[in-house]
Amino acid sequence: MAAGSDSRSSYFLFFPLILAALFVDIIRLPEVLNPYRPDFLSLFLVYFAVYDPRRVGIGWAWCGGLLLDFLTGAPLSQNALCMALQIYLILSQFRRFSQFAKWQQVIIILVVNLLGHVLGYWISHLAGNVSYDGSIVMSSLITALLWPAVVVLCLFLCRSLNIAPDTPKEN
Amino acid sequence: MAKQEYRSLFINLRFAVCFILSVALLFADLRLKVLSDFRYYIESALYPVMLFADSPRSLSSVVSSQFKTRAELIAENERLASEIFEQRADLLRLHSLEQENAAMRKLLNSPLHETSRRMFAEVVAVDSDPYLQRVVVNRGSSSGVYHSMPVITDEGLVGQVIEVNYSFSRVLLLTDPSSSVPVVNVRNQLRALAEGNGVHDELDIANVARSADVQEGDLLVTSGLGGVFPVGYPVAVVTSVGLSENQSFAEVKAKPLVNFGRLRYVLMYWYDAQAEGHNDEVQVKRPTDGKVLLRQARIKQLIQSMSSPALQQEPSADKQAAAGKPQLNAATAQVLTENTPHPGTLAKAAVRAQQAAGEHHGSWQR
Repeated sequence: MAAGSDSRSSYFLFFPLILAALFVDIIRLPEVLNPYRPDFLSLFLVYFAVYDPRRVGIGWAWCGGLLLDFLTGAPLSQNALCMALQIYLILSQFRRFSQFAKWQQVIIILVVNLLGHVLGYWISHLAGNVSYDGSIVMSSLITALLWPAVVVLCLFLCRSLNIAPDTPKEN
Repeated sequence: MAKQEYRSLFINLRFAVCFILSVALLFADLRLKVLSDFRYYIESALYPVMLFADSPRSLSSVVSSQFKTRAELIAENERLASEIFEQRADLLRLHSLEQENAAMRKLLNSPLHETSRRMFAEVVAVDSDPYLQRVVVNRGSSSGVYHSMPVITDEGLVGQVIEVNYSFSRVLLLTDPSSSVPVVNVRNQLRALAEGNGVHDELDIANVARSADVQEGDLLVTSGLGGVFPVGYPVAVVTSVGLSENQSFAEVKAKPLVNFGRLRYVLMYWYDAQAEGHNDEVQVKRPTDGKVLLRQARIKQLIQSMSSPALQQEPSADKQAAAGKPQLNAATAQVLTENTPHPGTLAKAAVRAQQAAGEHHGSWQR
C-alpha cells in the first residue's frame, strides 16, 4: 500500500468507473433478464470505500446514488440512501473487510446489498409503487458473485494506472 | 483507541447527515412536489446520457438490418405491400362509415367524435428500477406531449404519460403496480379494472365478483370511463380465472396484447375527454325552466346509452395470428366475427362488437 511519489489519485479511476457503472445500470436489457441486473455501482463504491477510505466514502456513494435516481426516474434519493447505507454498513461494521477471505467478502456483500435493496423496496412502498417478487434476492446474489471479478479488475487497473490510496502522513 | 472512536463517530455523523438529507429530499419530492421544476431541468440535461446508454441496442439493430439478405427484403416488401393494399381497402370503407356515423350523430343530437391527432415516438430507454414498469420516449413538452396522455401501439394500449420533460417523457406501462385501466369485456360488456402487478406480461383484473361471467380468452378493451383513455382500444386477453373458496373475489389474470419486452415504437394520442364528455353538460346548464331542463337531461342520458361509442380510430396494422399472442376464446371470436364482415384489425372489430352490444342494449331499453 506504499504510495509512490508519482502515483495518481484514486479519483482518476473512481469517476470513470462510476460513470461506466451508471451506464450499465440504465442499459436496456431484455425484460426477462431485467430483474437479475447486477448492481455494479454499489460494487465499485464498496471497492473504493475499502481501498481508499480517506477519499471515497458515504458522501460520494450518496452522490452516485442520486445520479442513478435522476437517470432511472426513481423517487429522489431512494438509490442515494441505499448506496450510503451499504457503504456505511461496510465501513462501520466490517473494519477489516479487506483482510477477510474472498468467500467471506462475498457473503458480506450479499447481505449488505440485500439490506440496501430491502431499504429501496420500503421507500418504493412508501411512494406507492408496490411490487414484491423474489428477484431482489437473485439480483443481490448475482451482484455478490461478481464481487471477486470486480476486485481483480480494479486491482489490475489500479496497478497498471499507478494509482495509490491516500495514506495519512505519519511524521 | 481514541483515534478509532473518533473515526467511527465521524462515519456515524456522515451517515446521519446523508440520512437526514435523503429523508428531506424524499419528502420534498414525493409529498410537497417542490422539486418537479428542478427535476425537469436536470433530467432534460441528462437526456443525452440516456441516448448514449441506448446506443448499443440501436447500433445492433442498425447492423442487423444492414445484414438482411436480398430474399428476405423482397419477402418483407411483398408482405408490406399486400398489407397496405388491404388497409387501403379498409380505409375506403372507414371514411364512408365515419361520414355516416357523423350524420347519424347529428340526427341524434349527440356530440360528434373527432379523429384525434397522433404522433409517432420511439422508446429510447427503459427504467431499470425493478419496482417501476416505465419507459422513456423521445417526445416531450416541445412536441406538445402533456401529462396523463394515452399511449398506444398498433397492437393495443401501452399506458399513459406520467412525467413530461423538454425533449422526452416517461410512460407508465399498464403493468406498473400503480397503474389501473378501466376496461370492459367485449363479449358481455362487463366493466372491470385492469391493474398492473409489476410482472411485465401480466395484469390483475381487480374486484371481479365470483359470479361474474368472465372466461379465459375474453378480450378486454378500454371503457373510456375515467376520462384518461379513449374508448375501445384493446388492452388484454384473460388468461386465467381462479375461483377459490376462501376469497370474496375471483382471481382473474390477463395478458396484455402489447409485448412490453419488445416495445420499440409507440403512438402518442391526443385525447380530449373534456371536449367529448362535457359538451352536453354545458348545453344543459343554459337557463331554462327546471322541468324542461330535467327532461332534456333524461333524453340526453337515454340517447347516450343508445348511441354507439366512437369510430375514432383508424385501422392498425395488426395480425392476430402473431406467435406467442394470447388466444381469444371461441365466444369472443364469434362476437368479433359476427359484427365484422371482414375480420380486419382487432381494434376495429372490438369497437364494432361494442356498437352491436350498444344497439342491443338500446333496443332492450325501448
